[in-house]
Amino acid sequence: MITVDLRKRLAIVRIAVGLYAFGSITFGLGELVRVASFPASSFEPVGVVRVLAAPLPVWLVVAIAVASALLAAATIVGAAYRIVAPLAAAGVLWTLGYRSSWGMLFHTDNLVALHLIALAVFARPSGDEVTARWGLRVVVAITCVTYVLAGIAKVRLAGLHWLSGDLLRDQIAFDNARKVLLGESPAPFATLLLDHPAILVGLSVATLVVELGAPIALVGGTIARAWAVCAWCFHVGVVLTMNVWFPYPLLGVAFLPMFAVERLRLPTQLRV
Amino acid sequence: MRRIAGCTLVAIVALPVLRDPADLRDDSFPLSTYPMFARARGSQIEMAYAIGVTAAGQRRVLTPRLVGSREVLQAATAIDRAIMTGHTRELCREIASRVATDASVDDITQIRIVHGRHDAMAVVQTGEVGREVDYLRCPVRR
Repeated sequence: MITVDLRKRLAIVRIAVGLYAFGSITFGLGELVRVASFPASSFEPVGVVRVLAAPLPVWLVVAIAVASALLAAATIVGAAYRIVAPLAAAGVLWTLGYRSSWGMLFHTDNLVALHLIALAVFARPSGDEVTARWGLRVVVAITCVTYVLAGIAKVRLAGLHWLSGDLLRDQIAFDNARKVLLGESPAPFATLLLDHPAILVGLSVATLVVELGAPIALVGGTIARAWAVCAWCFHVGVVLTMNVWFPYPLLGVAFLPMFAVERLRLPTQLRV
Repeated sequence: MRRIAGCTLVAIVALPVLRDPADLRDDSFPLSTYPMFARARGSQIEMAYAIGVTAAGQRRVLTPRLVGSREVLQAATAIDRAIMTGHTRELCREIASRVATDASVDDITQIRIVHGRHDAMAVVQTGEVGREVDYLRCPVRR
């Protein structure tokens, strides 16, 4: 009988998500400074940032972002997790929320913020096997819910007309035209797909199947892994057709709990 | 306790299902209705943006960075906001000053903030642009 070390799997998920959050804030710091310097009239707070009536001074935005990145890095090590993890989750939620408070919501940041909150509750290095099982289940369930919501939005707004491929064609054309007009290159496969609209019918169906079928990943095992591969391919498709990047799933971090990552060897400094 | 915490968390993430994805003001972070690729777009694209003009009158596309953000949508939002709040002249001058110090666009002599209406497919497939109406023009001073 094969025994699965779920505590180690959850620890590896915790390390990967912490590392991703650290990298996301660190590499996004320049852009955060740029948007935080926009005129106050551009400030449109979302989520927890709604407590603010006006933007914060840029130095304070940077200070909170740096502290959040360091806290996220500390969750990787796992020391004082009971205190550090909730603070890291709160800091990352605030910083990513602040970045989305200037007229453009970065939907790609949603899942990492939500996963950090779940991991703060469930991924204590001293936690038992049952807690680890629940933690992994909750992280996977959160992932599934976000995909189902995206599918429901399509069905509610477009109905079955979404399956005709026309909406996807218009979406690809609109998104790429906007990029071209604003000084960016169109996605590599955009022109090809617009020239061959029949392919778009298949892609539209596949998109809805992946999104609305996400709960199947809760079954676990091979089925969950197959869904994760399909969802990853869907994100690759979005890059190739619209040049829209969702790095959290593209790097595979969002899907890690569905894979046997406990087989990886960890440095001894990291607390499992 | 674990079950309650886990189920509560998942239920909170699912709450946006009660909101209307058509209402973009209802979208938030990190709890989202995920409306981004769900709306019908139509074949036309209508939007405000900035372009450069050379001394010979040729049209030049400006990168989002010259508008003030690396993110293309944030650059677009900055232009929309400037128009809505009556700060178009200030934004035009800011763009002109960035262009003035960028050697890669040293042939641009004028900035136009325009409202464009185009066939989205034509823009992507052939680069053909439709009608562009000026909000404002400002010179690039070097």
